[in-house]
Amino acid sequence: MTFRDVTIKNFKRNVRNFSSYFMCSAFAITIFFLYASLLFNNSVREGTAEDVIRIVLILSLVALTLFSVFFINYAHSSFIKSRSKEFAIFMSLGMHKNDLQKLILLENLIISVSSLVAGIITGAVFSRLFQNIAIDLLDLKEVSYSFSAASFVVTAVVFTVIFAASQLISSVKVGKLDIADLMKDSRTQDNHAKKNDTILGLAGVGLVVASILFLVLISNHESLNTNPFMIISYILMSFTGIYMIIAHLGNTLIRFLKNKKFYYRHILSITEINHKFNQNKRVMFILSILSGVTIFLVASPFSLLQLSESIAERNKYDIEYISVTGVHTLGSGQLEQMMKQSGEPFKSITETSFLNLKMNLEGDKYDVLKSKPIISQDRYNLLTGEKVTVGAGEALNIITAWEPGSHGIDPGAAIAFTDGTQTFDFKVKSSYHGNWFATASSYPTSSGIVISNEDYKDMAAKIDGGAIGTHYGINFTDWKGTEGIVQRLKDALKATDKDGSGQWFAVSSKIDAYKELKNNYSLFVFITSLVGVLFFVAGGMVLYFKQYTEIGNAIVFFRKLYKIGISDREIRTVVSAELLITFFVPLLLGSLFGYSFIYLVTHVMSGSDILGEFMKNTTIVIAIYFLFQLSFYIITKRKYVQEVVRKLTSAS
Amino acid sequence: MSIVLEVKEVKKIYGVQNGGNSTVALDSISFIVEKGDFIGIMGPSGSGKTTLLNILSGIGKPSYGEVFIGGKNITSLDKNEMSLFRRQHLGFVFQEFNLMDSLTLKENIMLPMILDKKDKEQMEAKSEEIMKLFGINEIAGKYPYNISGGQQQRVAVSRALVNDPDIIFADEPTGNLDSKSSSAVMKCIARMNQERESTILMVTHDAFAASFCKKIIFIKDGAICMEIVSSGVRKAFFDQILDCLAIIGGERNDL
Ligand SMILES: Nc1ncnc2c1ncn2[C@@H]1O[C@H](COP(=O)(O)OP(=O)(O)OP(=O)(O)O)[C@@H](O)[C@H]1O
Ligand SMILES: [Mg+2]
Repeated sequence: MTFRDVTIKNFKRNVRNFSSYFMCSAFAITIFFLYASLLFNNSVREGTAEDVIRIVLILSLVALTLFSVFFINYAHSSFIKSRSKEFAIFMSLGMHKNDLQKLILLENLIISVSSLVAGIITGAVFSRLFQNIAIDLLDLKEVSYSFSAASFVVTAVVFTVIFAASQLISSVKVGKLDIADLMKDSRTQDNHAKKNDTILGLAGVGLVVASILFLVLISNHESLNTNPFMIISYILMSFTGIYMIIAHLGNTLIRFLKNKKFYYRHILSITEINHKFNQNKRVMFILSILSGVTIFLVASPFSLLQLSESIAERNKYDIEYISVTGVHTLGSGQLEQMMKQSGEPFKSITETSFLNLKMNLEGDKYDVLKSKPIISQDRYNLLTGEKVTVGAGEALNIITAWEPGSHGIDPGAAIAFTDGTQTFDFKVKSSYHGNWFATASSYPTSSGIVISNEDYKDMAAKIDGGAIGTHYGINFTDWKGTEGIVQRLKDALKATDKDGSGQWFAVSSKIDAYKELKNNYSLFVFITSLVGVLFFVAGGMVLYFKQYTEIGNAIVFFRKLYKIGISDREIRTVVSAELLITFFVPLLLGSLFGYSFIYLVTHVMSGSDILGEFMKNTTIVIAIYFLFQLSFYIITKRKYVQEVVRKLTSAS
Repeated sequence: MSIVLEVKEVKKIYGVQNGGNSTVALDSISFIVEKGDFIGIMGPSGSGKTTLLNILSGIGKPSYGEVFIGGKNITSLDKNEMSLFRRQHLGFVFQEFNLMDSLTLKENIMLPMILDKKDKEQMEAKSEEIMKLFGINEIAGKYPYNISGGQQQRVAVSRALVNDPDIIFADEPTGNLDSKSSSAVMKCIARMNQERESTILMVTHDAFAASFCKKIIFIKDGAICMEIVSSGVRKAFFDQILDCLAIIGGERNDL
């Protein structure tokens, strides 16, 4: 019998370990490939030109990669650990470390290549199936199925790197191994509650609280809430805090509980859970992040979709348009006539006049005409319910574009407005996202200007009459039925448009906004929910793998107790408590992340008025997640207890 | 003297249900153990010692026959009743110590009482007393993997004693220990028998460990083949054991 025979025999005996490592790797690869093929799908790429969506997609890819790194590394090291006794025997019989490393390398090579192939094949099959179903189901006309070479290459490269890194780490570890260490049980790590654990655990809680305060602070500051440095600081702070909680709070609590009655009553559960925390802090951490990202990815598009209606309702009027010289010159009698004949219960028409002047600044991409609508302080306050005061010579720049930043009009800058003959100089008092009297899309600009009543009166008297525009706001009892009248109004206005400049002044309506939002979000919703589901599955997989690799240890643990006399019911209690914690603590911590990210995103979207809705939807998503997790928990618990009890009794 | 343990015609056959070659591990064994006894069971490898001990302690069930402990027929108990009975009436010392790594030594000793939901003061007092008796009260706060095998086994002995069991079963308690630690552990066990009048049934290969017993039952091929009683002088008893082992073909183990 040669050494090769020994290796082959060993392989056969270790099939369980090998296959679980293989399955996990293949599964991670499948998930990654599914996502990559979606990301590199041409029509998806074209359909997601918007920045936010791209950022979310890329962030998800990074998160998925990070997850794969952690997870494969974890699977790999549990695989090596589960075989430490075997290695110890080889080494004690005089096997050289180099040979051992070669053995591990060979095994790894087999597993990584085969799982890569298997993962990509299943991924390809599923992605075909998946995309087709999803495209049909969601009726995404613009998306078609495509296979791109990039998804294969990216998957292969990413995982080759991950496998190589894991291999490198374990070969370094094996190089440092001691037979004595290997012989020791995997449980015999340090269990002591160290002195500074108490401090670290509490510091973790402190850090998390601080990170939440920090989040609230930056979210509410426009200049900070999109600053990548701030966001990264926040993420680092809260992730570190969560990690410290997972790693140390258990020991902290035990320190407080020690020698209390409660402690002894539940001593097995408490010490076992704490031990599990110490042993699995990385897994718990991965799970927390996974569930947090899942919640965020599912809740935000879900909210967006649901909010299409209320976002549309943020329009100032059901229908509105602007009339300036030569554009949209419909007599007001004619307009009223038309509205009354629409058949829809018509309520009112509000006419607001404003100054329509060219500015000397560049503005940004929205300022196609390089002009701004200007109104007086009193009229602004009246129409919006705000209470601003503007001094003489000052201009208040109210940003209506949703993107952050000042859009080319910075506070303190000098700005001049002109009608072609006369110029008026102002100083920008301040520039912020705020309430405007008209809906943003009705005028091609990123902002509107408020000036003092005196300045306004002065300018209105001096300028050419053609520079005075009118904003028409039309309200109905119910905007949902206005589709027909909106179309008729558009046609009528178009007829008055002689030189084509009417294209810059769109008719904006709640009904159109609503339709467009729904349309735009559906692809986003599809992709993020898909990724959310992938993360959810990945979380389940990690949990499953963890329980699967731990059952051996659990049996050793319970066998000792069984001999002293522990009943099935007591075993069940200990197992339940332990599983309850591993299943739900990460979810709780993840919910914290989910809420925080959503909070940040709603503020970035400058919609503190949608915060309530978003939070409500997030809560619903979390509740559903808990339900899923609960059923998963119940199934796992039952199977796990059965397995433990079966193995315990069959042994004697 | 009251009878603590009564074994009646116990027979154990392995491998009946899966047909084919069945092994008769125990063949109609009967004996009684009285309060305060310290009995050793010896025999060659494969003679059925572990099987017997498992049946006596309710971990395994006999194919035929009955076992009474404190007058209670334990073969009729179901699994959960048995586990309750085990922790209330029996004490165990195992070859591989069987201490829980996640608990301190003191907590390990209290474990049977903890499982029985005894109150805290009682547990503290009891474990304190026993640890003092065996000279391990100084290491009470340590964890099992940080102490020597001999110390671990003494902790296990303390644990076996903590709930004042009717009888203590020991399966090769010195099997994993060197001769010095063996001696320390055996002294503990002997002391437990003398000072606390505990009833002990111990399986061992080790003639030295067996020499601490008051009586030895030799089994071979699943049946009792010989019994010897100590005169009280350990050296003499040790020689007597070696002679018996030579006769029945067990291993010799010189001092
Ligand atoms: N679970 C089992 N299934 C089948 N046969 C068994 C089983 N356990 C023990 N046996 C057989 O029963 C007989 C007695 O075994 P037992 O373990 O009781 O011996 P022992 O006296 O404890 O031996 P040792 O001194 O080597 O520990 C042996 O022939 C053994 O092969
Ligand atoms: Mg044995």
